[in-house]
Amino acid sequence: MNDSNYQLFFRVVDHRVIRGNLILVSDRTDSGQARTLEIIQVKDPKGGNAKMYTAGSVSNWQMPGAKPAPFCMAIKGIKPEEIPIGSTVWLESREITEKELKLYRKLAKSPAPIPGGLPEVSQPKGGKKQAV
Amino acid sequence: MSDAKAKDQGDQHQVKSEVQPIHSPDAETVRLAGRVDMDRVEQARSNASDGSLRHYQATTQVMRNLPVDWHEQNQSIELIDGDVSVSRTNPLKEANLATGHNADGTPYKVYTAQASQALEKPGEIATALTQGDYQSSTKLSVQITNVPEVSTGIKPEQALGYVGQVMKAGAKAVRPVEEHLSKPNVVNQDLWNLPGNIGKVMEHLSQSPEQLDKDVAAITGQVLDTIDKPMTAERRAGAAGALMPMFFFEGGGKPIDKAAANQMKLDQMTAEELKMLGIERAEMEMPAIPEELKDLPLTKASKEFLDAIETKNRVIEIGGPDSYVLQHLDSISAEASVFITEPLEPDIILLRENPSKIAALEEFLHGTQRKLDNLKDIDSVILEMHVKDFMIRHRRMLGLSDSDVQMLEALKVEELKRAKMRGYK
Repeated sequence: MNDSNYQLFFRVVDHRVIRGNLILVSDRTDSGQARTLEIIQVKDPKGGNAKMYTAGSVSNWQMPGAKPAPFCMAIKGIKPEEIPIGSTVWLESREITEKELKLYRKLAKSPAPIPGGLPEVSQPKGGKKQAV
Repeated sequence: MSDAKAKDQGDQHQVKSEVQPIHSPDAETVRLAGRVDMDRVEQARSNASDGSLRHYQATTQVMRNLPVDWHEQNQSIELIDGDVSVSRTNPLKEANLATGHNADGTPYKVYTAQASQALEKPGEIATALTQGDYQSSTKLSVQITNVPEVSTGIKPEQALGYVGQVMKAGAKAVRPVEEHLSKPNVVNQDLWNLPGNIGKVMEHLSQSPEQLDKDVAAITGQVLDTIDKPMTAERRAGAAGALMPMFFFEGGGKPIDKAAANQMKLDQMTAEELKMLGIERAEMEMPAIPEELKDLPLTKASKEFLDAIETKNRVIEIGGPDSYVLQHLDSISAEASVFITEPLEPDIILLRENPSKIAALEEFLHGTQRKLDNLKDIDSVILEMHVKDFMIRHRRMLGLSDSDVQMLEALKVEELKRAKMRGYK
């Protein structure tokens, strides 16, 4: 592993343990470049003892206008003492891919839905089908 | 033969017959001139050339008989094509006319410094560098400077002093770098504004191709002692380099231009680290939420619906009063959450009591997304947009009401805004 490929992602400001998973609460509200599952590097508050973990990004459902939720990641089977508050989480750096850009543009251009949904369309049974 | 053609030929004969020999004394002298006279005239001519280039070719035997001023005369004919000139003394071929040669024909090598603060790729080497007096075999291509105008210079320790001064000032905002650089002679002026009014940066940098690297290394080493941040040596070096655009600080309280923030990698710094640099991270400006959305009657998730989700390899945790799940959701102002921790682990969905159908469904569909090959390794912000778009498009299949769709539309707009802030265009 090349250490220089990792960039500082967030600092751990809080902990939660839910169903045996340690939720790391970050000091940032955006998800940055994180994917659903990530290999992260965690360093203790003094900057040493880097450890690698597989962590899942936490996706939140918020009502419009709510205060932005802090970004969180979850790690299975570890105790809060192993990642003390103040630790830093490092993520492998990457650029936006062409695949992501393409999908973004497609979604951004997606038309607004028709109120009430699409109209019902029926074809007479039997006989030649009519073009709709 | 027609009559007209015959008439033309007759006219030509008539014209020829009108040419008469010159009978003046000068003409007579020329006609009767001997070799001695011709030699005397040749010696009296200011331009000794007979009009032929053969005498001036390096391989010609006659070269040793050239007139004493032949070198000067060789420069009398010169073809200039952009950066390169061709003359008798500099007989370049067509291939040499491409960039890469000085005006005197000597080749040069370009060392390009990819400055981290540069907003565009370095352009072509300026004509002013390849012509005139500056015909070095080494060219330094720097993005943000106009070399001939820069007469001031900066030494590593002085640059460090400036960086320290900038940090001490606690800048509140960065003026857009592009706007600043678009002004004429701006870099020159910035350098003059440095403490000590130092001189001749390009002379300093042109000492050797490695000079810039040496300087950067020297500066970085000292800056690293100054900036105490939890970063790797390489990243800290990058941050030190990223400080350079802070040459352009002015005013206070203005939002930092997004392009400048990206160039300086400010988005990768924590709020605490930004504070050390005198920059305050503000929350994203999201579109105003229409009042009617807050009280939309959303469809509730039935028990059967939630049970059906659990049969699809999901674990649902509903946060009752005083539960740790509710405390967590309250602390992050979320209605629902979902996460996994290992590739094959089931999704864990956290919900409040009596959750809305779209909240539970959305968290369920995130799990479906990661099973699709075309959505693997996609940025989270795009996945958020995608799942909401899917729900809107399949509203009938999913049994969503108009209010549900209206809410999803508003949330999709928010995700779109977030994606734009992340650099998607």
